[in-house]
Amino acid sequence: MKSCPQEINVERIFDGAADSAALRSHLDACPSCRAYLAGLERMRAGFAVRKAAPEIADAQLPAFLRQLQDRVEAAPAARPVRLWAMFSAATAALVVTVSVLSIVSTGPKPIEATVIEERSTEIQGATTAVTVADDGTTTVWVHVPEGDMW
Amino acid sequence: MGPAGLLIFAVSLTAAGEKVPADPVSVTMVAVEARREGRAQQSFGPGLENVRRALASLDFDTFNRVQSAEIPAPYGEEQTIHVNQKYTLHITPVAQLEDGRVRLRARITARSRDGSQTVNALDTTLQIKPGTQLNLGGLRLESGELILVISVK
Repeated sequence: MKSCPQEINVERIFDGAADSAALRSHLDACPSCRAYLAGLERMRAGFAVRKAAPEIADAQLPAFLRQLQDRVEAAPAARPVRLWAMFSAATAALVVTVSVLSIVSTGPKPIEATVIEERSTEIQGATTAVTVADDGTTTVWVHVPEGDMW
Repeated sequence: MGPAGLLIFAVSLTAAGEKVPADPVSVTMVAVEARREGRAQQSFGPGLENVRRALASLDFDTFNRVQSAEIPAPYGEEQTIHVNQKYTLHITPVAQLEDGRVRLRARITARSRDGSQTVNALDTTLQIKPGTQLNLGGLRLESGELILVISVK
């Protein structure tokens, strides 16, 4: 839509700086000016709903500044992250991980003092078993079935 | 085994890192009768001071010595220790391993109640480190079970 040369007068109506029967008559007849005026009114309405910024009275200013200072001092000081610190943290994490794995993992079986290479029994129905106690003592056990023979 | 056989045997042992020392192995055996009498604490009879640790982990509460012996056992020769009228221990040191352990064969022969049969109640070949103790057990005695605690040096 082409703009109307009378828009300047529409703005004056909008601002309350001018008003006349001739301008109102032009507005009734000019869709461009009506649309322009409607746009200006929507813009004003939009600004009107914006919340007004809180105002600090002179009497409140010292308390406001004091609270602001308190918050600044209470906030942890931002320290620059240094490369060596990151490396140290990564190393510590690696050490902890390896330690946990070494504890959790059974690892290679310790060399037993006694190794049973072969075992057998000729008692009919008997079986043999090998156990190793916590102190490393090996026991070869013959489980003999109940009976009168043996 | 002839001279050629002995030579082959010796060569094979050497190749495996084993040797056959000329000095005999000293074998100690303590025969123990183990029972379950419902004691709160394990009881060890006299003469079991040196084998108490080896017996402590076993599921018995009363231990009494039956017999004990210490004998020299030359490599390649079977030695016999009579435990009682029913059981006999046969020990044969086979070789000394590279790490100092001794490979030996241990057999416990048993006579049947009627005396008509003798069998290998247990026949085992093992490697034992000198100074450590080994339990061979489970065979029946009149009022308990037989445990032989064996060690070499």
